[in-house]
Order: sequence, then C-alpha cells, then structure tokens
Amino acid sequence: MLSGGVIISAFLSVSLCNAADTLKSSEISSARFKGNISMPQTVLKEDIARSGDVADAIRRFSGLQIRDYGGAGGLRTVNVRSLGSAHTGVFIDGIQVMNAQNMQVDLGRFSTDMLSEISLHNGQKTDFLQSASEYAAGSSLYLEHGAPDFGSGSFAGSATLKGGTLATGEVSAHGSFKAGKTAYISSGLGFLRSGSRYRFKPRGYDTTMVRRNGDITSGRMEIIAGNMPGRISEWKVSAYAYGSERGLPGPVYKRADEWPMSSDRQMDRNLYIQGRWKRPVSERVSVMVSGKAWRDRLRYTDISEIAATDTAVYDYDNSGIYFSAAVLFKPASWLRLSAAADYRYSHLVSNRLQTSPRRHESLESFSAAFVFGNFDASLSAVAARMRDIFGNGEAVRSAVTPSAVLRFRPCRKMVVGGFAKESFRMPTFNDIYYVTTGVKALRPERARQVGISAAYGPFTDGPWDTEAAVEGYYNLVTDKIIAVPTANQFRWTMYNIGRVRILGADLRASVSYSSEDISSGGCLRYSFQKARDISAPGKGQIPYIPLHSGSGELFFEFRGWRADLSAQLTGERFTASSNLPQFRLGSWFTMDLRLAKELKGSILGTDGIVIAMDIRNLTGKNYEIVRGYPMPGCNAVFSVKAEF
Amino acid sequence: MASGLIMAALLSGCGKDNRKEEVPSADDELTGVKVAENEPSGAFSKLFVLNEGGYRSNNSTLDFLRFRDGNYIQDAFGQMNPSETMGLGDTGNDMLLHDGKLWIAMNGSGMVHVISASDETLIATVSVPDPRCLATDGRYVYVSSYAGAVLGGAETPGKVFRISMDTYKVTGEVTVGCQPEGLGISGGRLYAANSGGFNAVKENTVSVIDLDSFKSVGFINVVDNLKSIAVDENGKVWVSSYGNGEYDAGWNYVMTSPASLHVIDPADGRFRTIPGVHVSCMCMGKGHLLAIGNDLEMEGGTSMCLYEVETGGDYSCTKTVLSGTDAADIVTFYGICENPANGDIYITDAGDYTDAGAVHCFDRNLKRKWSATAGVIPSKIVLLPRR
Repeated sequence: MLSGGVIISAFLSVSLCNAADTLKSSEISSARFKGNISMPQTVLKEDIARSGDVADAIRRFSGLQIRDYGGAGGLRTVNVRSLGSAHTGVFIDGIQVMNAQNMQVDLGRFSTDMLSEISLHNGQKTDFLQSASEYAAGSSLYLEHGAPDFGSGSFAGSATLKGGTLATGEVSAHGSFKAGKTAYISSGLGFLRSGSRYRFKPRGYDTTMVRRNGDITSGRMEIIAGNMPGRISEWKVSAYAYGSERGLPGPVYKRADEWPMSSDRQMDRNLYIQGRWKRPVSERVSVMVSGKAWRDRLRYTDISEIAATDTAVYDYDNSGIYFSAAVLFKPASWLRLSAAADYRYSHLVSNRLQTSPRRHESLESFSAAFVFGNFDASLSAVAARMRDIFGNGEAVRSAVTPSAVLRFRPCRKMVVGGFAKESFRMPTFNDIYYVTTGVKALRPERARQVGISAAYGPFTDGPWDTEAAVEGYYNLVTDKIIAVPTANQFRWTMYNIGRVRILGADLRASVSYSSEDISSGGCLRYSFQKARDISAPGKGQIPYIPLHSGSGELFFEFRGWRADLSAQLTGERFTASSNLPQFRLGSWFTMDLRLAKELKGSILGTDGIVIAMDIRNLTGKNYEIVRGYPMPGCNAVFSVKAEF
Repeated sequence: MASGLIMAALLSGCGKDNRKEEVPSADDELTGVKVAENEPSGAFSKLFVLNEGGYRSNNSTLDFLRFRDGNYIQDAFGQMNPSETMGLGDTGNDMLLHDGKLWIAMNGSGMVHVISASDETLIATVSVPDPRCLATDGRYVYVSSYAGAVLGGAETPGKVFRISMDTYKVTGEVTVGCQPEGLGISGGRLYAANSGGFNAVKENTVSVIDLDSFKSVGFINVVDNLKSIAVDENGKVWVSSYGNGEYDAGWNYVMTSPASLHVIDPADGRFRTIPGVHVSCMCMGKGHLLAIGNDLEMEGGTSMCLYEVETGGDYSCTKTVLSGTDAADIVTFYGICENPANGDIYITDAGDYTDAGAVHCFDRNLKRKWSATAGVIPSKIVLLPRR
C-alpha cells in the first residue's frame, strides 16, 4: 500500500512538474534549507478572523476530527488521524499547553483575536531549533501570535462586538503598542455570555425538546510582549488568564418529568505565563530557552436533581512549571544538528483523589537535518523519563522514540515527502489516580506513524491560483490505555491492552481567481480513515471515527463585500467498536454562511469597520457529533469589528 | 431482587402440560436471530433479558428469547413502542414479573415502567427517584432508591418507595440506610440491603420494614457494602456484599474483605456467613442459591467459580471452577438465572461494558446450549411462564 502511494506520488510529481514546465530550472534547487521540512496545513490571520474560535478555524484542516459537545460552553477537542486527542500536542507560541490531569485541551477557550497563524503538523514538526516536547508530540497544533502590523503608526488595535441567537453576546478588544524601536506590547480582553438554550430532536424520534443548562459566562485577559521580526535575537513573553462559569447539560437521556435536566455546574480558572528567547551565539551555533508556569483550577459541582442539598463538589487544582533549553549547531551548509532538554513538573491536588500526585518529566531530543540537492531530511530521537510521586509510592516510566522525515522538491511548486515516527503519551493523572479505577503499572501508550504526502502549488496562471495535496498514512497505536473491569466486577482498573490500526488518506484542492474588483475561490477536502480496533476479534471501526468525511468552502469578494459558504460532511460513525446497528450514529452534513462588508478608511474615528453576519447550520440539521450531545440548529451571530 | 418470590410465582404459573397452544401475541411478528435449536418450549414461553445500557447513554433495552422458535429478539420494547420517545430509557437496573406484567426500574431515568409481558407494550410509567431494585408481595411493588445521594450526599439516607399495583402510583415511602440496593420479602417484612454506594460511607446494615404499617422496624448489622438480596423457599434472607478494599503503597487496589455471602434467619435476625463463597452475581434456584464470583479475589488472582449453596440443612456449598467449562470464555459474569423446570442456567456476559454483551444458556453440567448477542450490559433475566 505504502509503496503504491510512493509510486503514485512520484507519478504525480513527474506529471505535475511537466505541466509546470515554464519554471526556470535555476529556481528549482540549491543546497540550502528552505523552512520547515515537515509540511504543515496552515490557516492564516484573515481566515482565523473569520472563524468563531480556534475549533472553528481548524475545521479547514483535513485528517482530523473535532469532538464538539454542542453549545457555547461545550467542550471541543481535536483528534488527529485517529490517534486519540491525547496524542495531539497543542502549542501556543511553541510552548505546549499541558494538562497532566487528562491531556484534554479545550479548543473553545482560546481566542482567535490576536492569533496570526494556526498550523497542524502531522507527524513530526521539524523546525531546526525546537524543544524536546515539540519533537515528542504525535502530531501538533500550533497557535502563533505574530508581531503586530503597525503600518506607519505606533498603535494597532481592534474592538469587536458580537450578538446573536442562543442568547449570545461577546465583546472583545485588543491593542498593540510599539515599545521603543524594536519591541511591542499587545494586550487583549474578552468577555462572553451565552445562554445556549436550543431546540433539538432526540436521535431517532420526532419530538422537539429543549437543551438547557448549557449557559456560559467567561472572561479572558492576555498580554504579549516581544520584539519585532528581523532582529538577530527573538523573544516573546506572554501571560494569559481565563475564567469561566458554565452549566454542564450532560448527555440527553430519558428523564422523568419531575427531574427533567442536569443542573451540574463547572467553574474554571486558568492562568499561565510563558516566555521564549532565541539567539545565535556564533555563526554556527544558536540557542533557545523557554519557560512556562501555569495553574489550572476546575470545580465541578454535581447537583442532585432530586435532593438539592445533595451536592458533590469536585475540586481539581493542577499546577506546574516547565523549562526547556535547545541548541542548534550548523557544521556545514548542508547539515544541522540540534539537541534539546526539557523538564516539566506537574502537581494535582483534588478533594476526590486519595493522593496528590507529583510528576517530574524530563525529555531530551537529538536531531540531525541534511540537505542534498532537491532532498532534505531529518532524523530525530526523543528520550522521555517520567517519575510520579504519590503518597508513599513512586513510579518511573520511560520511552525512547525515533522519527525520520524526508522531503523532495522536484520543482519549485511541488513537494513530495514522507515521514515515519514513533511517539507516546504518558498515562494521565486521571488514568492512574482516579478513585474508582486505581492503577496497575501502566506503560506509556505508543503510536507509530508512517505517512507520505505530495503537495503542488500554489501554481499561478494569470488571475488563477491552484493548489493541491494528497497524503496517505498508516498508523498503529499499541499499549492503548483502556479502563477495564477487574475480576471483581465492582472494581475497574486501567490496562495497556488496546491496539488500533489506522489506514488513511487526505485529499485537498483549492482554486482561486482574483482580479481588480472580484476575487473568488473554493476549496475541497476529503478524508478517508479506516481505523480498526484490533485488540480483539469481532471489532471494527473505532468509536467516533467516520470512514469518509469531507469539507469545502466557497468565497466571493466584490468591492468590500464578501460571502463565505462552508460545508462539512461526516459519514456514519459508531459509538462502540463492534459496529452493530445499535451503536450507529448517523452521518451529517451542515452548511455555514457568512456575509461581510468591509468599510475601509476612517469612519467614526476608526481605521475601518467590518460588519458581518454568520449563519451557522444553515439548513437547521439536527445532528450529534458525540452521542447524547445534540448540536444547535440554525443560529446566527452578528458582529461589528472596528480597526484602529 | 425478590427472586424467591418471582420463582414461586413462575412455578405456580406454569402448567405441566407442554402441549398447550401458544396464545397469539402482537410481538409474534418480531423476528430476531435464531440462536437456539431444539429448545423445547417447556414451562416457559419467553426468556426476557434486560440490558442495563451504559451510564447516561440511554441505551437500555429489553430483549427476549422466544422458546417456540428459538429466536432471540433484540430491543423488543423499542420495536413494540416506536412512539415512546427515547425508548426504555437510561440504566435499567432491575426487572420483576408479576401477573403478566414486567416491572422495570430505570435508574438513570428515574422511572419504573410497567410493561405487558405478552407483547412488551408500555402500560404505565411511575416516577421514582434513582430506582435501584424491585420486590413485590402481590399487593405492591417496592423500589429501593438512593433518593438523590448518587455521588454526593455521603450521609443522605436512601428510601424504599411503595407503588400500588392497581393505580401505578407511589403510595408511601420509608427511610432506610445509605444507598439501598437489593430487596427481599419474608414473613410480612421487607429487607433492604444498604450498600453505602460510591461514597466512603461506613454502611453494613440490612433495613427491616414492616409491610402492614410500612415503617422501619430496625436494622441488622451484617458486613460492609451489602448488595444483593434473595429469599429462599424457607423464608431465609440471603445477602451478598461488594467486599471492601484499599490502595496499597504502590497505588494498587487490594481487597481487604471478600464479596461474601450471608444468610439471615428472620426468626432471630441473626446471620451466618457462608465460608468460601465469592459473589459477583447470584440468583435463587430450586433448593439452592447459585452464585458466580472470583475465588482468588483476596489473593489478587482470578479464578471464576460457580457456587451452589443448599438452602436447606447446613448450607453445604459445591464449587465448580469455570475455566474448564463452556463458560470459560465469558469476559464479565454479570447476571445469572436458573430455569426451575429443567435446571438450565442462563448467564449474561457484560463484556467490556460498552460493546454488545451476550446471553448464554448452559445445562446442569455447564455444557453450552445456545448463545445470543444482547444489548449493552445484559443483566437481569426473567422467565415468562406459558399460559
């Protein structure tokens, strides 16, 4: 299969390069590195600004599944290439968002206001100077805050007001100031309130019900300071605070009229400060240091619907610190060697755990990158060691994982590449210390990935721009951590018994046209994922992974007016790996429409205003991404954004 | 959990004449998977299986095996009540049969359904908070309830509700110990096993309730974390425990007391422990109690065994190690039921608790007669006598 893929991509490369024959041969190659060896999918600032949040923006990537529990307060996580969400590292400005408790990163919490780029690296991200944690993640999602664009002034900012159905209102603002000649300070604020009460039909029945207790109130504040690009050294420090109070509507299930809904609540307080500094110390050597400190508090209140006095409070206080140092050595123009060492400490205190586990993690990475003509390649290895201290006990876990990336540029517009990577995820505190499960000697969960890809473009022909990419991959997850009842059925424990084999393919193509007045374009994506549970006979596709899924966008821009139509299609899925009809979750197709008008120039003291209307789920499709969690029907958000 | 009474009702309901005509039923149209060959109709026309479903997954279902043609029909309730929104509901915890009606306690939904046993159509639904287990004395159906103390309310006492079999309305409630589970009736008194639930509650009592006055008349201290109750033909009350355990220094869970079996004599309120029996699930059979448990749970090993404890005499126990039998490949022994007419044993396999489970029929020598794919977590089995 893989060799077939290689042949296909080689064939594609030859035929497409012939088509693009007009390129000058001198442009094709020179023995120098050109950016990342890995080939990420990227969403840039303008598209990010048109998305509601990060989860919304990354729907433009193929090969991933976003789990969405519905409503403004619903959890949103990402699962790349069926490895499981704990294998996807989420990095903000290069530093990983850690949640040692459950490895779950809620993408609904990050504001898109100040983001300049979001990229997804399948397999290995290969920047030459990066931390060991960046080498360790199975796949990685990068959220980048770029330096502000001041134009000719010394201030840039915006203010946004949003309001819409589902009783939703949001205000946000950010401003950036030049600090001296080379630095900037940016600051952002946001406040969201949503009732998120909506009608739905329970799956398979023609009865209309109302989703309640899905409300959320949240606020965030962030400050980023850094230096402007183009300097020899690079530095950036940031602080982020987020707080929210929300209802947890829970899954929909049949309830007696007397106790119709969940009244559980959740409160979050998240805080982090982080920084990174990079500098060449000589012509051949560069160094980078990074650090982060964080504290995440969560209070979950289980309120009995029957006896209001019977509330159970679950407090989790998760804190930690992180340091990383990396060095890059360039012995020759065709060779780069790098090494990094990371240390991370996490501590969890909870009134529901019988211990307060402390975790010391150290990661070391070594990497070598080469370039030969049109080829560049990178080899790396990560060694990780984790020591847990709990009560009187101690547990040590370790893993060593290699990776290799190869890229070939047959011509300027064409990249063909492949990678092989082994990665792991350590057991989380929830896996190990949760009261009802207990622990055995859990090993890290392993993921092995092999992928190939070919990307073409952007190929420009007059006003037309064309781009296409095809990717194929084979993944194997072993030692998957699964909760199983013990021989005494009243006690559960976690074991490394799961095995999943994934065969997938992603296709992407886009075309756009731009002239003086009009620009228009579209994009189509398709993903195939055959993810089989091979831990036991009689199992099929793993839960929640569709065999087929796809998405597409169309846009049309004319004199400041812009219309965006996007569509999402997800094939049928199963909630259990035995794939029986009783576990089937139907396919769904939704469309979103956005209409916007940009008023340029100084209006009411601003530097421009964008007025937009977003209609989500245009056809009012009744669907569930997660069983028991109905998604909202047709809803609309109106927004006004003023640039300063 | 009034298995004794259920069995008595079943026995009295079944005739000796196996050649009786089958009564036509609306559910004759339902076709399932033929799993049983040459299964004589015998004393019973159907074997009902209640699938608990996953916690808050709303996928509890009612299946049955039709003895006449050996067909196993999944989700019969859903098929016979298509307009009943969200079907049976969430977490079917217990089921009993009385007078041609099935009573099903839906723990997550806070409902007790009354269903026609002849065609699985819904007759009535009674709202009861957190219903757990059922028992009947022929006049009322009694339901044990955590009464809100599911995850919190460590010290909140549970309740037993009384439902009229004529009006399908709750006509009384009585406070018992924390998180009551199994119920049994003997000598005009109701016995409720208080489990202490998911909290670190020190609970080791059986509550005793006088049925005429429907008032608590006392407690019997047995052992920690009680679970199931069954009453034998002599009126003795059998009660099992979840056992107890703790985390050792290496954060491994170790059992400190076994999932044990005890028998209470209602005459003096004293109990005896049956030594060497480990109970994951149990049922009352004809002249004996059947239990399945892990014989090596205290040692940290696994050896699933079937225990047959005589309900008369000195409660002698016969142990069969299941690893050498046709039941060896069962992953999670979850429910057990004995056919009083021919001695067949039905065992449910809950598997990994998320995928489809299975129901197996074994003869007295644990030779497999048939197996059927069930819903999620098949638990309670009830036999419907032929009319």
